Amino acid sequence: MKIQKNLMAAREMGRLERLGVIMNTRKIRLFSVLMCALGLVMYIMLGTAVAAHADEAQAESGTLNIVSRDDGTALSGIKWNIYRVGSHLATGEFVLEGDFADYPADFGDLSASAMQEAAQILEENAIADGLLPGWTASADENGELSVNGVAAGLYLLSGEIITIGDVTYDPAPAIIEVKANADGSYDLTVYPKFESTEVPPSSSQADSSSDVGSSSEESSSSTDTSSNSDVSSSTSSTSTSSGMTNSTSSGEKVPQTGQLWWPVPIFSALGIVLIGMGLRVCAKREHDNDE
Amino acid sequence: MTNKKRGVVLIAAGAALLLAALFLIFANFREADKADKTAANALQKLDAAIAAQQAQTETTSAPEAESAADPEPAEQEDAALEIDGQMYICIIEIPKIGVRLPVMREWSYDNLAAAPCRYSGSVAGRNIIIAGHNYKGFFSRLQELNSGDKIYLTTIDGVRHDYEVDYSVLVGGNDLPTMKSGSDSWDLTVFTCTWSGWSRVTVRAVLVN
Repeated sequence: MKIQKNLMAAREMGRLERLGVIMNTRKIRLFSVLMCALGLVMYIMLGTAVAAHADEAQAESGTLNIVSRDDGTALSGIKWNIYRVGSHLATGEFVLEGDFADYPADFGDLSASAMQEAAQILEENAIADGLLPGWTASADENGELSVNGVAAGLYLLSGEIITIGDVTYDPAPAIIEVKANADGSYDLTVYPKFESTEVPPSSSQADSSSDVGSSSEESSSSTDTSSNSDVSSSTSSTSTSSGMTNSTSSGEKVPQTGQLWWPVPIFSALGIVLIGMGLRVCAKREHDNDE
Repeated sequence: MTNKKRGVVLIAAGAALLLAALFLIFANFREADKADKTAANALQKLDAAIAAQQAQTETTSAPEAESAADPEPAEQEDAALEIDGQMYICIIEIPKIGVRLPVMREWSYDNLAAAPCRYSGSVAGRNIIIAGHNYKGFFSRLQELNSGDKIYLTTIDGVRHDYEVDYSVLVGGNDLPTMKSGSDSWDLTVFTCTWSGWSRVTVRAVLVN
C-alpha cells in the first residue's frame, strides 16, 4: 500500500512537473512567437524599403534601341556612340552635366531645329575633346542595336558615317531623353535621321568617310514634332513638349493612377488564416503531449 | 519538433501579414495626405497667379482668348504658369464630388503624386485628357459622376471652360487606344484608377460654354 501510494505520489509529482514544464514551454513558445512575428515584420518592412529602393533604381533605367534605317534600307554595321550629357530637372529645365557642362549648347529654345543645332555643337565638342562615350555599339543586320541599363537623363547619339552599296549615310547627331514611359518602363526606341548621298560609281566605295559634295539626296526619317506630350500608340513616334524627338516602344498602357489597396484584404485574410492554423497546430501538439 | 515549429512559423507568418497590411494602409493614407497638402498649396498660389494675370490682361486690353472653334485643335498648346518649379495649365473643378485642384502640364508618376496632370491634348484643342490619382481628395469619387454633371476648367488666362459630363466608362489599364479614341465626340476626358488598379474610371465631357 505504502509503495503504491509512493508510486501514485511520484506519478502525481511527475505530472505536475510535466505540467510546469508545459506551462513554461507555453510561455517560451508565446514569447518566441512574438519575437518571430516582430522579426518578420521588421524584415518585411526593411525588405520592402530596400526592394523599393532597388526597384526604383533599377526601374529608372531601361533599354535604348536605335533603329538605323533610311527609306527601308537597314544600315547594318553602323556604329553609334552614346554619351550621357545631362539631366531634365524637376523644374523642367534641361541641364548639361559632367564633361558636357561647359559646352556652349543652349536649351533655351526647345524647337526641333534648335535641338538639332545643340546636338551638333555637343558632338563637335565631344569629338574635339576626345570624350569617351558611355556606350559604343553597332547595328545588326536589321539596322537595330540595343543598349541596356540606360538611366534616365539626356543623351547624345553620335553615329559614324557608313557607306552601303552606292550610298553613303551620314547620321545626324541627336539629343534624346530617357524618361519614364506610360507603363513605368524607361525603354526608348529612336529612329535617327540620315543624310544620304549617292557615291558616283568611280569613287571608292570602301571609304566610309568619303564626302560627295555634289548632288546629294537628303533623306529624313519623319517623326512627330507636335508641341504637346501626346503619346501615341505602341511603335509610332512621339515628341515631348520640349521639342525633342523621341520614339517609344512602350506598350499601350494607361498610366497607373491608383494606390496599392488590393493587397490589404488579401494580406489580412491570409494573416488571420495562418494565425488560426498555427494556433490549431500548437494546441493539437500540446494535447498530444498531455496524453 | 517539426510540428511545433510549424505552428510557430504559421502564427508568426500570419502576424507579419497582418502588420504588413496595417503598414500599407498607413502608407497609403500618408501619401494621400501629402498629396492633398501639396495640391492645396499649389492651388492657392495658382489662384493668386491667375488673378494677377487677369488683372494684367485687363489693363493691357489683351485680345480675347481664342474660342474653342479653332482649326487643327490637336496641335494647340495651353499656356502654363510656373508654381514652385512646376508648370500648371488650369484648375479643374468638379462641384458634385467637391474637387478643386490644379492641373500640371506634364504628367509623370512624381507629378501625379502631387496633382492631377494633363495626360495628352489641350483645353484649346478640345481634346484634353486629365489623369489623377484616386486619392480621397483627388478623383476617388469620379465614378459618382453622371450625365449632365458639370466640370469646370479655368485656364491661366482666367477663362472658365464649362463642360458637361456625357458618359462614364471603364477603360482597361492596357487599352490606351480606347482612352485616346473618339476625341471628335468629347472635349474633355478625366480618368483615374479603379480600386483594384486594373481599369480606369473614365469620364467623357463636352464643352458647353
